[in-house]
Amino acid sequence: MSFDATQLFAYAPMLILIGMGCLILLAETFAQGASRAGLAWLGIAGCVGALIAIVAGWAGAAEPTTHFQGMLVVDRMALFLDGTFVAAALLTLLFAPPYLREQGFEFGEFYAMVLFATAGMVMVIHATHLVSLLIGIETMSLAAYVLTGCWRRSLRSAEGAIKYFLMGAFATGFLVYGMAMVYGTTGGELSYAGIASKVPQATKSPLFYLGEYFILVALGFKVAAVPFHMWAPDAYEGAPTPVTGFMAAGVKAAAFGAIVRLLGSAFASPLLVFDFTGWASVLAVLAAATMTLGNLAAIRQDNVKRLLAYSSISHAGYLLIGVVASGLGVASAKPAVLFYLASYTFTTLGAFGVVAWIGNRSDERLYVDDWAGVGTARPAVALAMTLFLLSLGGVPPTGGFFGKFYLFRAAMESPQLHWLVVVAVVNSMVSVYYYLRVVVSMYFRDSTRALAPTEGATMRLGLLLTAIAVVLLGIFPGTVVEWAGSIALK
Amino acid sequence: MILGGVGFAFALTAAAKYLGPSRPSAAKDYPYECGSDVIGSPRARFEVKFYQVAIVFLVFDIETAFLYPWALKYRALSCLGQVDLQTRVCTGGVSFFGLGEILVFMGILIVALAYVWRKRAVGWE
Amino acid sequence: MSAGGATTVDMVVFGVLATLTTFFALFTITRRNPVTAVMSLVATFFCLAGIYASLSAHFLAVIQVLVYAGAIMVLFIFVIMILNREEVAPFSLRPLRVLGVLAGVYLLVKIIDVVTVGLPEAVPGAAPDGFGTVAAIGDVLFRDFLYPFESISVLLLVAIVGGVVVSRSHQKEVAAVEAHDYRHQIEELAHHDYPGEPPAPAAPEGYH
Repeated sequence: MSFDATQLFAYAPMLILIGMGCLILLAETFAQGASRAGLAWLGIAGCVGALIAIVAGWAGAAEPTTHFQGMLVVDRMALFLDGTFVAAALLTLLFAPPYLREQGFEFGEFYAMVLFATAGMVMVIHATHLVSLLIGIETMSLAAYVLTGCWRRSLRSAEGAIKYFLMGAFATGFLVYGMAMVYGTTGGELSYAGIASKVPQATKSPLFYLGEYFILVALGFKVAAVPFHMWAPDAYEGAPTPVTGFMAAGVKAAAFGAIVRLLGSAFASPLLVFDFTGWASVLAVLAAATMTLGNLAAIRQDNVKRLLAYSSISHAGYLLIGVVASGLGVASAKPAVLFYLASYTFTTLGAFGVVAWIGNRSDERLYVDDWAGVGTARPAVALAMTLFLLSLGGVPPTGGFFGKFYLFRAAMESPQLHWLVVVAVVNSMVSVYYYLRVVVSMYFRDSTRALAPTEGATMRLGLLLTAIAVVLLGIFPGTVVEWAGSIALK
Repeated sequence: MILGGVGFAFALTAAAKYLGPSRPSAAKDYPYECGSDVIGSPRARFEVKFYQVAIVFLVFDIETAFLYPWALKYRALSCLGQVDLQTRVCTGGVSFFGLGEILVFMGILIVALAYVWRKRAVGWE
Repeated sequence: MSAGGATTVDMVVFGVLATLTTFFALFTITRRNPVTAVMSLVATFFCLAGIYASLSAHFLAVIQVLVYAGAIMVLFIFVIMILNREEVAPFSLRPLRVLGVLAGVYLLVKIIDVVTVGLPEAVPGAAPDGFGTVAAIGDVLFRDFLYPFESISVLLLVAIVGGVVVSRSHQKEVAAVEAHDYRHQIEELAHHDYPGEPPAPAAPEGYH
């Protein structure tokens, strides 16, 4: 058996992340009592290394190549999202150390878990086989459960983690059961290409449809689309705030990447897309429900963390529109989804970064009223938060505006989706209302008590970087869409 | 035959229940046969460390299961040509594929072992 | 069955193992003492492993003994020992019992149907020789499924570390917070404790 070791170079980002994660674990284990701040820098170094590896591999990934007997693929889409995940991890590692130190639970496993979760996301996005997808999803989710529950002093963290874990385990059950049905009805196919080639004969059995939808249900849990979103607000609220940003951005983006890839190859056959029972119509209804329910719930929230959690549910709804449009054959939908994911990732991370910044150990300041007076006390941070909230609401000239613009324009190309675009635009306008509530509180109300935020140089650097990214995505959206567009629209 | 098997199993259960001598007494219901008194409620909370041990055992147990097929196929995996079925001799070159793949697998899990070992050694008290 | 068709010895072995499996399975659900029930479940697993082995699914048999009879049962016994209580009835199971009986009857009818009539469509052909043996699994696992095999080690690593992180005592965390508080107080004192400085207004408590 000869093994071509050179194919490992294509997966350098994943290998760097895993290797650095192991290194941090060993350092944490053998350097007891030493300063933990160094471990965060190890993690940041790992992320930078992975980013360099992604840039280095970009030129070679113009044509998709599969490796490991069709288990994994390297293409531009995967590398684009890899970059997004690694950037998310990098920013999380910048936000987390001051926050953890303030809350008194800084330990090295945290940073290692962030890297392992990112490696899991990378595995998910490269997977072209249901088994490799499963392992990626599990690696990512297990690390995310641990990150949610690692704040041992907080009961909310434990509650969020247990809900997230139980729901996640349930979703994995769906995924595995769905895989078994697809495997059985396609005559033993688990690779995306293999499934696609067997669709005509497999559709004779209703079990194949059941399997397909079970897999989609499992991924729906991971993106927190509406009937499967119950875990999200509690898990997002309970998790340490930098982790919430990482989960809302990274885990969601990875699951969306998996959905796009799966529906674009294994279940791309017209037999499965169209008709009343095709996934396009099902997902269109889910998209409308997700946006609307997420927004309606967000309006009623006074807790900023919960408000952002519900808003993140509604963003999953907007993204589903793009998925449906790409299923209906709109070529520009896939780059639009990817651009949206990138801009959403930076914006969400930034917003949760500010939420992590504003509180301290005795006073978390999570309520909208607690944000009064930030505008005069700390104008720079207030400006950044305003920028993030406007971007989430889709107000120009931010990355979020162009994300929605490209997405809706792609959906307009398909006449069946016009109603969905109308729903989405109405929802966007509604969402601006609750985002602006926070802005109004920051600028137009007097402070009730002195601000004592969690300070930290890395936190400031992280906020600066996210703000710059959001602005740049708003100024040069065309360039980024071009990168996203070179993503092999096969 | 199925009915026979099921019936036999039922018959055995019934036999165990009705034929066996059944003389319940207070002494038999007592938790400890040696006669010690029960101290406190049996619903006491157990240390979470026991769960830790169980979980770690479970994971390493699964890891061991992967080693069986590897041990059996090691010769074939390390051989670039074919392995002769009778003489078990490899025709063709030798590769480090078989060794390499298990080293990577074990290496990552040894990180886990080192982690658990150190943390436990520090924190068991 | 092995490719050569079932011999009398095969049938006898299967008959004995199947009877024992059923017997222990019944014992599991009829015993009141949870420890007896769990031990019967272990015996059931062992007998099932025997059936797998006789069907030449050797790897499955090993996994059954190692993972189910070994590891999973350890967890079971742990839970039962720890929740050592009689008659747990948080909610009435009676309606569920009817459902259970209905489901059981349905399953029985279906099984009898399949056994006597046969499957509606042709069953896939007999498995090739050696299918399911440890060697065959090894071939697939270490060549075609090389990537999943390696990446699952990362998953196991995350599982172990995660288990330790989530379940460890948070005494250290509390100690760290207290130390932080203490330092903070000293700093505050150093800051405010000179004449002329007005006392800092007490921050109102949050209302959440």
